[in-house]
Amino acid sequence: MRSETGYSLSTKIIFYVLFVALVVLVSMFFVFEHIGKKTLYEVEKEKAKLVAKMFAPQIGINLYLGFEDKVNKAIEQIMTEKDILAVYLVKDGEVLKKVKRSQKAAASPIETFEIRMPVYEPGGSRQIAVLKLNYSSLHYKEMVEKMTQLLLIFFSIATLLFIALAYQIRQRLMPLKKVAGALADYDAKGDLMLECESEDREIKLIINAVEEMHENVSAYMELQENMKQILSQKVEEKTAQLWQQLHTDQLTKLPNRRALMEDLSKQSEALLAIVNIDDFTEINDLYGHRAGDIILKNFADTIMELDANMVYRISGDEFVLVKKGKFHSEEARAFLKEVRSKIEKTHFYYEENRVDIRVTIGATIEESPMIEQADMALKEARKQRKPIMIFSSEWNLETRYRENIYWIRQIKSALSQKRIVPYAQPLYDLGAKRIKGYEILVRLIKENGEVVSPYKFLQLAQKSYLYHYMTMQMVEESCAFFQDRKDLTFSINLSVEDILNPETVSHIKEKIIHYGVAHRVIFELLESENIEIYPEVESFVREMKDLGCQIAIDDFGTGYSNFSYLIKLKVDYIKIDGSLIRNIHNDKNAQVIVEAINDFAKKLGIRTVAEFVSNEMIYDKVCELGIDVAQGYYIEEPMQLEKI
Amino acid sequence: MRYIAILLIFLQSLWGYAYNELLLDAQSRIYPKLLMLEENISSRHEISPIVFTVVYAPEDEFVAERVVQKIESYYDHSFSGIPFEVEMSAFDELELSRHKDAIYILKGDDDQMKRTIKLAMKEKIPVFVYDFKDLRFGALFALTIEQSTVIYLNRAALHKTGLLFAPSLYGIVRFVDAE
Repeated sequence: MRSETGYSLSTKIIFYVLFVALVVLVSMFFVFEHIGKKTLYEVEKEKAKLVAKMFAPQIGINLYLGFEDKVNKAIEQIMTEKDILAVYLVKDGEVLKKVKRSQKAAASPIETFEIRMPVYEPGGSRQIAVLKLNYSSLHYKEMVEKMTQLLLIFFSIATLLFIALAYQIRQRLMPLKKVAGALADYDAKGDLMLECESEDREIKLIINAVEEMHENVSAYMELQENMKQILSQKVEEKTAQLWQQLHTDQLTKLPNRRALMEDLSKQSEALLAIVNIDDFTEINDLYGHRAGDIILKNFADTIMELDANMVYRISGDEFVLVKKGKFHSEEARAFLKEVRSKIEKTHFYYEENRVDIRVTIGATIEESPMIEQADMALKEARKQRKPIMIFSSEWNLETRYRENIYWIRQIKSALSQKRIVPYAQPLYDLGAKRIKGYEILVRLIKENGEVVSPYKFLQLAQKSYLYHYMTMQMVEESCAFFQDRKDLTFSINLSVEDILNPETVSHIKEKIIHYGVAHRVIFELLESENIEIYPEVESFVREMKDLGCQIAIDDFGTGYSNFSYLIKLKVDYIKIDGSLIRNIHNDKNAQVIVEAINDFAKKLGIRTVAEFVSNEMIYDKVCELGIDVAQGYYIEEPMQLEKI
Repeated sequence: MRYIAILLIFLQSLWGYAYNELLLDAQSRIYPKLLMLEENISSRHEISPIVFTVVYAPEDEFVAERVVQKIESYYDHSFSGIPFEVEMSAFDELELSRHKDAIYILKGDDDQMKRTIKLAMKEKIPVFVYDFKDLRFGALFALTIEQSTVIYLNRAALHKTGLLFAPSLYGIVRFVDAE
């Protein structure tokens, strides 16, 4: 409720009236002071002028005719006017006549004012004298005093009227103040006591309106109270329902991951096992999602019958069993074996089809974080293809994870600071006996300047979706570097992920066009990545070849070596896998394979590249076998672009 | 001869009219001034002089001469910058065509007085008389010295002549109605 601030309405009205009254009175005072007094003064002056004007012609003609006695008479007549204190008739600077009233003329000069009236010759305009009158201001002062008295009486009456008016206003508005007082502690549920009486119609109307409003508000409040209770009840029901939904898996009606997290926060010692249904996607794919849902429901029913305290479904095909108590590893393993055995002995049906389920279980008996530990155990079980794994702190999984996190941070930092840099290793043309180009190899430069080989970070980069940023950076920098080295080719390694990423492909196209290097760039694709199964790869190769680029298949001889796609993709180079070249000088089998690959490539018009040429014997052998290009430490090791 | 002259003067004074010297003096001073209050006088006499003629009975020639001398001493051939001449003429010799501006008639017999004033008024010539009683013949102005100086203005003569004077004059004169 707002606190009472400012002045009351009655006070304000009184202030306004006082203000208006003051303005009026002050205006009147000033009007009187500045206009009234001046007017009175002017009236007195005019009176004096009138006397002078009246007698001046008479004096003029008598003066003209030389009737001094008549002049004197006229002056005497002037002096009969009681306010005239002295008369002077001055001719040519000489006072001809001078009459003074004895008793009043002695008064202060401030109390008189002087009127000068020229006396003209009769019928002419020639001034023959000046009539000077000393006029008493006594009458003027009396008038001013009278006016001042009247004004004071008026002010006094106005003040009395104002006080009466103020009293009346306050009295008339008093009921409103009482209403406001009653409303200040207004409680819609209580009774409204308005003990005020007024004869004024407007005040009565306000009081009636307030009473009526109180009745309406009370009724409305009662209604609101009822509605509030109903709503509160509904909200409670809905909250419980939402809480239930939030903590329950809608398909199996088991508690979900959120419920598990909350329960674990209260749990100290327990066995927690994540039970993952193996190859559940295959069930979905084979029988459809509806079948998958039915089997999941049945699976939930089965798992609930096991000897566990709590069962949760935490994701599509993952369930969690929690068994309270302190367990040894062997006890836990025995329990989990029993669980697995029971599940795998249970037959699940969808319509007429029997679906056998196998599970992998990752568990922990360690303290928090239990879910993460059980998850690590599950991953390890999958990795080692074991049905049950119980987390052990001796695995050092955490160390591995920390390393991964460290390298991912390194990669991100290097990317943002442009410390992922291209190195280049020469490709030596064995026929022309000269370096024909370079293969671009990625390196990470640590903040301390240490150069890191891609084996340490490339795989992690691929997993963390940072790989395509690295590729874009390599493409940009190598294209920029080789744009002015028009006698050299340069090879850029691309993974299937790069080609499947439209953003990366668009970036590659834009850069090779921008730098005008399309006819000198060779894209190396890894044979081991099953590139032949992706239509996007074929499309990319066609597009690049249309631009003038060349295609090389890297590590050829390690995969299935499906030769048909070499023709399909119109490959320009085959880079024979290093494992075949590394011992070629003393491994007959390797020699045979390389020779076969080389012959086949030659027949298709594809040039061959031997990697890992690390010594002279290997170099001689690849020369002998007719390989076109050699690459390896024997030729030169990878170097910074600036050193080319 | 001298004795004869003294005798003549004596006889003159013996048979001539009696004049109040003070009144003559006042009239000599004021009559020209009254004439100058006529509204059109100055416009009629920018170049030609105003001729103020003193008319007398033959036996009053010496009086007339004195009057002329008095007026001339007061106004010295010029009045407020306008040329001013004083002449004298006996009743019989008066030529109104020449003495047309104003005539100042001293004493005379009633017939002479009456005839002269009648002719002058006919010519709209303002007539000043020495004797107040002569206003009855239709003269325009007379002046007496009573308790104070009084100027009489004949209202009938004023209407007859149609002359206009400075309005302030009307405030100080005493009007009489005499045909």
